[in-house]
Amino acid sequence: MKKMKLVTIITESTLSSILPDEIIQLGASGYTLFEVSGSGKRGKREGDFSLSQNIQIEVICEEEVANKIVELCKSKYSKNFAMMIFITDADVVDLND
Amino acid sequence: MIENLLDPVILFFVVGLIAGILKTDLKLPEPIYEILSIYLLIAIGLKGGIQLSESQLEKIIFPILGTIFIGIIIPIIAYIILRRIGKFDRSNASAIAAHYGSVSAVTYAVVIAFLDKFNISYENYTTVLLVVLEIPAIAVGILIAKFRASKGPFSVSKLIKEILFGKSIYLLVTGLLIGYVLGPEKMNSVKILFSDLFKGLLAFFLLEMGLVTSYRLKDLKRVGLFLIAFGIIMPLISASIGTIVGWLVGLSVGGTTVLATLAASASYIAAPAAMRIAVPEANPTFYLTASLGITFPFNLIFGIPIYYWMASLIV
Repeated sequence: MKKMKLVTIITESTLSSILPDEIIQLGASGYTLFEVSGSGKRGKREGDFSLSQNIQIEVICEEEVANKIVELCKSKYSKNFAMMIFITDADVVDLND
Repeated sequence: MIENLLDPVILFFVVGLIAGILKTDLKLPEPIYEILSIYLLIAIGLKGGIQLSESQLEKIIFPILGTIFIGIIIPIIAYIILRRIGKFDRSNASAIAAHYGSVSAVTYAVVIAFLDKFNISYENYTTVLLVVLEIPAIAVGILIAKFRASKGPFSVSKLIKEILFGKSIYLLVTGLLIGYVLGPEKMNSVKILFSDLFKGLLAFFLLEMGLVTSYRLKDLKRVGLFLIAFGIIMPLISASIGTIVGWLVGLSVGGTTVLATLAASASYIAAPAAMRIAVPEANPTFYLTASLGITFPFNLIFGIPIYYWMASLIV
């Protein structure tokens, strides 16, 4: 098992064309993206129209990269975009063992 | 006006609108909405291309220039009105202005259905004007946003590229080309799908548009009286400009009605996605509610007959 971080970002689907590329540039080796819906302090997102859709991006990465991702989201997006981020510990299974 | 309302396309829109207001569980799955919008864009492009193959192309230059003029002037006028009278800040004013410069392909489809229904002839190349208007208007909108408002870290060239290669322009242009190259005879094999079924599927699409519009109505209270008035008066101003330009470049009554409607229509698909990124500090509630909640239904129900009336007065 390798100790890694799981960064989960829930945000507006508009960012799906930008944010994943930036996450890779920060040093993450990959990400998972899915469309989600739900409710939060910036209102309910029912996923019924382009701008009201949400995405969830999950990234498994080193702690250092996780911090960079958080920093990017805080400085560039959190003010104008609905966004929620949390980080959890992840024990990543090494499938080559 | 009444005659315009008694049309399946308009009534399906109203049915969707009421379903949303009454909170029925009617909902079209997202993929259906997607496929219908792709279908409509292809069908509009093909129809335009076939018509184009039967028309003389040299007559098209002045209408194109007139349309580019409209695409540049409308967002500028809208921006000035929103800033001076509406007291909107620069970000919101530029984002809303971009929506009013850009066009709605669905509104275009409805005006064409309106003219066909009343057997009013129009120029064969109006679909080209639809494509032409979409490009400069949204580019000007983004430029106003860039120079007047946003300090956002997004590059203008990337955004414009995304719009040019976005699906609506791509499908309209390729549809035009296929229709133009193949002409009416070779297109006969797909006529059932793209021509005969068009109005029925447009009605189906408008059912969904009615639902989507109803979701915006709940925000009317939040946007204030000025923006509600703007959503009705701005298309009238744009349509007047469109009517005058249509008359100047020598379009027929039908063609002028189309140009006025294109000028009056506000984008609610391409523009919101572009503006959310170009001007992230602008509030989407303002531009979505104005273009989708007010201007779109206004144009559909009242606007198109008014623009036809304006065109028949002047041309």
